[in-house]
Amino acid sequence: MSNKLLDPIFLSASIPDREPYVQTSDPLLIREAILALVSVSIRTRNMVFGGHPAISPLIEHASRSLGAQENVYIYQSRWFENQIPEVAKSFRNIIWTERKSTRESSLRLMREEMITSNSFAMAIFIGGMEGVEEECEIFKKFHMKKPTFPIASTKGAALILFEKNEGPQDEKLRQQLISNYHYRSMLKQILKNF
Amino acid sequence: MKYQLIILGPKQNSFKELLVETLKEQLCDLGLDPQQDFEALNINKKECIDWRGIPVMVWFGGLMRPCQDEIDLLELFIKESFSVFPVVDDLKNYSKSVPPVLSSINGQVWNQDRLAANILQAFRLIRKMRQAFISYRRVETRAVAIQLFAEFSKRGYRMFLDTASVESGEDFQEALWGRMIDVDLLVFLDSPNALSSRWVYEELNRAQGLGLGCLQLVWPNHTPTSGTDFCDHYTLSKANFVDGQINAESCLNEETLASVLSAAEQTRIRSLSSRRRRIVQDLVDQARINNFEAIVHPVGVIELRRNNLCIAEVYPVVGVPNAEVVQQYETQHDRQKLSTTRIIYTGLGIHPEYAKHLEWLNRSHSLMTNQVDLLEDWLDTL
Repeated sequence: MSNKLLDPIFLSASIPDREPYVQTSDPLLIREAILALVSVSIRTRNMVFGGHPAISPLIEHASRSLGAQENVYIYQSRWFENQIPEVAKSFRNIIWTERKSTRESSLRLMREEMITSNSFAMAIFIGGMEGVEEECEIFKKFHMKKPTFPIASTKGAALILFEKNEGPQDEKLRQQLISNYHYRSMLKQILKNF
Repeated sequence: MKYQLIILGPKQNSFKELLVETLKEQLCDLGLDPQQDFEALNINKKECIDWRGIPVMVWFGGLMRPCQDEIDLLELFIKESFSVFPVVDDLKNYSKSVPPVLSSINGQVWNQDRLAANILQAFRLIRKMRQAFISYRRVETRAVAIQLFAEFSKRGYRMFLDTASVESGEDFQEALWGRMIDVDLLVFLDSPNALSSRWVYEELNRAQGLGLGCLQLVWPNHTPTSGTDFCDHYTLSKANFVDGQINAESCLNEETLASVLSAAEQTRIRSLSSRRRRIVQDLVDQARINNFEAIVHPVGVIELRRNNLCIAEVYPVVGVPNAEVVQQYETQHDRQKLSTTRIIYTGLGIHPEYAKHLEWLNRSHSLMTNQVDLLEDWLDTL
């Protein structure tokens, strides 16, 4: 990876489409939170996340329009290689991980390699389902002293993690995570402190 | 979700009926249904305000003291940078006629036509701001595309039909791209063989980056194309088509058509809200961090003040600025203040070639454009 001034961010996100995550979830808010994060961070930090059919191109395109696509790193398991369109395989920084005997073990391997790839500044969780909860568990195992930020207002797994007391313990900051939709300014402030 | 107008202030009863009547007439002219698409709310209906939309407030000022509930709601609107139009009998008594939180905001004397026009502009419901694309594959969905083109046009939209980007894999025609500054809505027909991965990855994500509302009509027995999770889905079945027929010449029945248009309006409102938030709210937040007070006038420029002095002015552009917009603002602005004025935009979704064009514009004009995420350097110089 290129030598950056600031430590990279680990992003864990997806769009819920089944219970118990989908209740009240709002894809528009998830999109806006992700785009806000890219806008305020991608020029000065790398961003690492697991491939997703909607999120990967959203982030790749946004970072490209900001002239920073080289700072985006997408992990992809070979388990899904045949499902991924050619256009996605041409993203600048795709890191393929080995296909194992099952989907679950392939995903687990991908997640572990991804999360242990860097000394991250923090993990940010947006929307999501079981995969996001699993990525939080893995992140905490390997980066136990690093902060986590579930953007609870985007609902899904981020809200569930927040309700399990994941994230900062400062009450004012927790209130922001659950109710502040001004994602740009909130994320800017978070990133300034780490 | 509707276009919501909140009417408050001690003199609201003198004017609200006339204002609402004027607005409803103009909404009908635009092809909207005032019953379905619009509502006027007072303080008793504040729980009905949909904060995910773009509510607009009118404050009819007067010398009588307003109730605290109304002041609280007004202050919340100002804090969230939603548009507030203060209206008074006489501008000479402006500061005595409005609560302190409105003292810096430009007010106006009651004029029903001008106020209605301003409110519609705040909803982006004037014709030049009401534009939409339909992307579709001709051999599968031609009739529905044309049907939607006609119906949207009746509702005041300026429509662009896009087949080239879907069928030939080309980028959104560059001529269309140049119009995207005022496009709020992309309606795309997700029929079985319509959308290539490249189209989804490039064009749909360009639209998403720009903050366009994206309404996806999913064809019967077809799974939404992969990668479209962020779009508003409208799933069609055979029953939505005239005579239950599905082919390139099939049309939607009347009831479905009305329902699709209503869904499109909701998608548009939500996208306007998020685009506004990206620009205006972020500017206001950044200004506070840099010790400025941001005065968001309901129309036009945002002032950045320090110790009550206006230090700089900003024009927020929802979408992408172009040479026409730069020229328009530059010629209407005080030339002495151009160096402390900026046009701001988000930068997301902009084609790299267009970004170079904006850099060239900055070198050749006195009024410069700035991405909202790169404002800090400029704010530091003020």
